[in-house]
Amino acid sequence: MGSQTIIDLIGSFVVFGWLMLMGLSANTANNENTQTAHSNLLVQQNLVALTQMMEYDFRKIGFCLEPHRIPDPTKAVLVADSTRFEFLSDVDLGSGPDGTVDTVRYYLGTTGELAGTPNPDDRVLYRVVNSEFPRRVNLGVTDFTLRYFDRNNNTIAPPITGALLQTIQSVQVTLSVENVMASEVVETAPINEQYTSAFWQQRRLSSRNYRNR
Amino acid sequence: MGLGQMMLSILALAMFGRIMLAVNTNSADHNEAIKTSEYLIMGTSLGTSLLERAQGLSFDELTITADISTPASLSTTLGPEGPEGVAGENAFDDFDDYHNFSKTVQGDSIFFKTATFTVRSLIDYVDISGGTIVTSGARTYHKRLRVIVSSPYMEDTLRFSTVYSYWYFR
Repeated sequence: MGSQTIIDLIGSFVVFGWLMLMGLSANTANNENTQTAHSNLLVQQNLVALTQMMEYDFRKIGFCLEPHRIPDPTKAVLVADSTRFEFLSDVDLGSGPDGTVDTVRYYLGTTGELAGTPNPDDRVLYRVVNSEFPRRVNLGVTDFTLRYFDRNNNTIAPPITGALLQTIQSVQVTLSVENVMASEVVETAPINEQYTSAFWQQRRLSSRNYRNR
Repeated sequence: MGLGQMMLSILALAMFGRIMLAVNTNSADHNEAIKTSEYLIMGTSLGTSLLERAQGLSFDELTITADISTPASLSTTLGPEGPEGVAGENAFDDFDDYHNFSKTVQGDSIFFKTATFTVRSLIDYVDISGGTIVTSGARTYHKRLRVIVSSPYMEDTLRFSTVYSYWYFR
């Protein structure tokens, strides 16, 4: 074997090693991207599921198939706080309205309830109809904030009680959803866990037939 | 290394480079699709919010404090009246104040974690003709609100519309 052949062999090994490294790093990056994409998809699906449910419920605030059962829709809001909302409606998912007045409650749990998940900020968003048992479904909600406005579009500061509840004309819902597992972890100190997130904000009327002339 | 081997090596490198480019393009497309769907969700929400806010107002400036018995009594000119146009959306008191309305919603990474959007809206009187909703030259008991949401970060423009009718009973 001549010296030229040996140099060729060494050169080809170096090039091969370099290409191999490039291929491996491309594969790693591709895997990370795929994982992040899946994580994002999951978060967005969770967000859409929540928003569809809220849009359905909030559209029916003060509504009843038998209108005489909620004669004054301005009294449909029972509790209005920054993370808790309770109202009268006629919601029956699946079967549709049945003419019976339901009490719907939305409220945010504490981070301690989901201490077992890697994400330190996720909480359970409860939706409870009447006296049913609050079921815990973790969709990675990290923020559920409600703002209330009167008919002149002035903000009403919570907690809102008594006659002030009747002045609520619209509700602004802000929702943030994060993945319960970190999609990326930077392991240099301090460890930085990055969670994919999605954000949604919408203004809803508190009662559709309020002040319409 | 002979000429043939050299050519083969260059070809192999070129092919490898092409594969790497394809992988990167694929990854960038993924990220773009994710961001676009995020913006579409938020754009839809902004459009719906405007529809909701408008439907919380009176049907017409002339029906705020009184009822009317004929469409001829409704406003001839659509749009905000007097100082409402200057004061902005918070001063609107009837549905058609949203005619020729435009606002920019600034994206903010802290308070409004999304892109910057432009929301525009138009109102017209409508009627039903041949089973479809058409613009009416005359005043009617029905007004249509069309909302257009766009963003420099979205290729598509979102359009929403709703018809709001006058109703009043004692």
